[in-house]
Amino acid sequence: MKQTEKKDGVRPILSSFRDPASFVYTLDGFVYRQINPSGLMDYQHLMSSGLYDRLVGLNYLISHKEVSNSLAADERATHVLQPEQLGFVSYPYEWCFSQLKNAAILTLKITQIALEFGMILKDANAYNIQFLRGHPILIDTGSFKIYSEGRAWEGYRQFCQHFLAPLALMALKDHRLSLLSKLYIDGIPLDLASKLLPVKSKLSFSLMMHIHAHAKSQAKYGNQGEIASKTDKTVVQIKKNNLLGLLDNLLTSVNKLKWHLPKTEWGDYYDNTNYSGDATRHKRQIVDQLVTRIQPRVVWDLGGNNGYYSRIAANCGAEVISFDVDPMAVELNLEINHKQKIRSVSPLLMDLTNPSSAIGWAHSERDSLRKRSPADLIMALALIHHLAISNNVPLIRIAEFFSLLSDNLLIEFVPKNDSQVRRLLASRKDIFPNYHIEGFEDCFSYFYDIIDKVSINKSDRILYIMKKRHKHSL
Amino acid sequence: MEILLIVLAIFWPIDAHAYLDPGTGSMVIQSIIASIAGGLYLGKIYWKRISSFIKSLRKKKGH
Repeated sequence: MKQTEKKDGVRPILSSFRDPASFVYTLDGFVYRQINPSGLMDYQHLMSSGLYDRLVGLNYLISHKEVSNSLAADERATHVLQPEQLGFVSYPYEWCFSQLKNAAILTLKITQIALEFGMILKDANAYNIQFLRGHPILIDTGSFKIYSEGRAWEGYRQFCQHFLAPLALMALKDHRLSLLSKLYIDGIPLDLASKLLPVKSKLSFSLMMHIHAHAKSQAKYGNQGEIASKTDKTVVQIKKNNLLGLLDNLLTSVNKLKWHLPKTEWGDYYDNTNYSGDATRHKRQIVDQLVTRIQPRVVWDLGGNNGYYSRIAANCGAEVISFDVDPMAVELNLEINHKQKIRSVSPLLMDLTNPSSAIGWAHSERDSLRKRSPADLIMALALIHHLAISNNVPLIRIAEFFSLLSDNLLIEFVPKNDSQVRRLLASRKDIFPNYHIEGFEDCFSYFYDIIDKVSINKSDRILYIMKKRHKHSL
Repeated sequence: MEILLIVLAIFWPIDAHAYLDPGTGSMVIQSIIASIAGGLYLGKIYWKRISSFIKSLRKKKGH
């Protein structure tokens, strides 16, 4: 088969290859979506039926404008769309419980609305949802297809694997099981979810049917596709009303799932530190001044906890991605932003000692954290002792990693006499002779120029602003 | 339940245009759940209509 030739400058987005109806790519720094002939009727119906306007009006679907076909990736294009451009792309295994739940609810609501307009979602892929201005939004304009009366929902299996199974596991077993989504890129296998869920999950009609019985049915008919493919004549159908009933039942079961927050290590950090009120005020003031001085457009707050300092950076006009390892802190961050109507802080789960790696086909479907850089500024406040002492990472390697993510760094050094460091060292031998201000400045000076340093009042901690100076690798 | 699953599996129409494999087992269970949920959904809609009708009657009486 002849390979379709791509135009010069077109860079395919390597996760966009499954659906022949449309795909996304970049050209001259912009993301575009090309509609192919097999997706034409569906796209035209989406636009002419009023569904697009309704969903965009609700902020449920990414908006786009149609641009010239001269910007197409190849000669198959019937339409070229330029969607609203996203900043940072996050993945479901980086979301906390509420984020995944909101994404699941959005997917179901869009499917219900689409049916009103004679369309349906042909998939239910959690990676098709992103968070924009604090809200989940569907970014795959090619996901809609014309609904034929009687057809089942093709996205049903995917919905259960991408959304329902991880949510049920997090709510009823252990929140860490959401990380299984990293291992299984098309969602958690339902037989595995069924084995892991507690027996009490079988008391719920929805979970019993959508997960346990679903897994059994998959096992029973797993190798019988050939039986079904011989019977392409419609005999058994799902009436539209029954399909609406299925969606309503899924929506109710997702809504019922709640995560009972455990009291984790850092969730109540700001209520439980050795900071005096004066020190907090002073630190807040310095962070505000230093961020204002740099005027970053995008800030990554590493170890952002409940987002206290992320919101200060956001007040300076930046879009902030606030990473933390603790799901409780991420939930709190989300809740505070929601209450304060802050749209420019995106909390995400991230274990910096093992940050998200590149996964999927040819390691290129989902990018590593590093590949999603650079940010204009990295903030690493009250973080270094966790990396250097709890995880034994040499200071020079911390400096190197940060320098790969951004040219600017706002970092807090927490010395050994600080009570938080003393606590970390209380149960172990001190094998960190170079963990002191001079050692810290030496290591970071290898990659950065220190622009300014400010001691925090009534504390032994120091805040530094640094600028990357030259390329080094260890 | 077993017999129903077998019958549905044999006669299930597969969409030749689907880019995802919806999975025979998933389709079978989906149709079973949908037939139950569809009934509940109708009941829910009628219940909402009845209760809103009763509420509107009470409001009228209140006036």
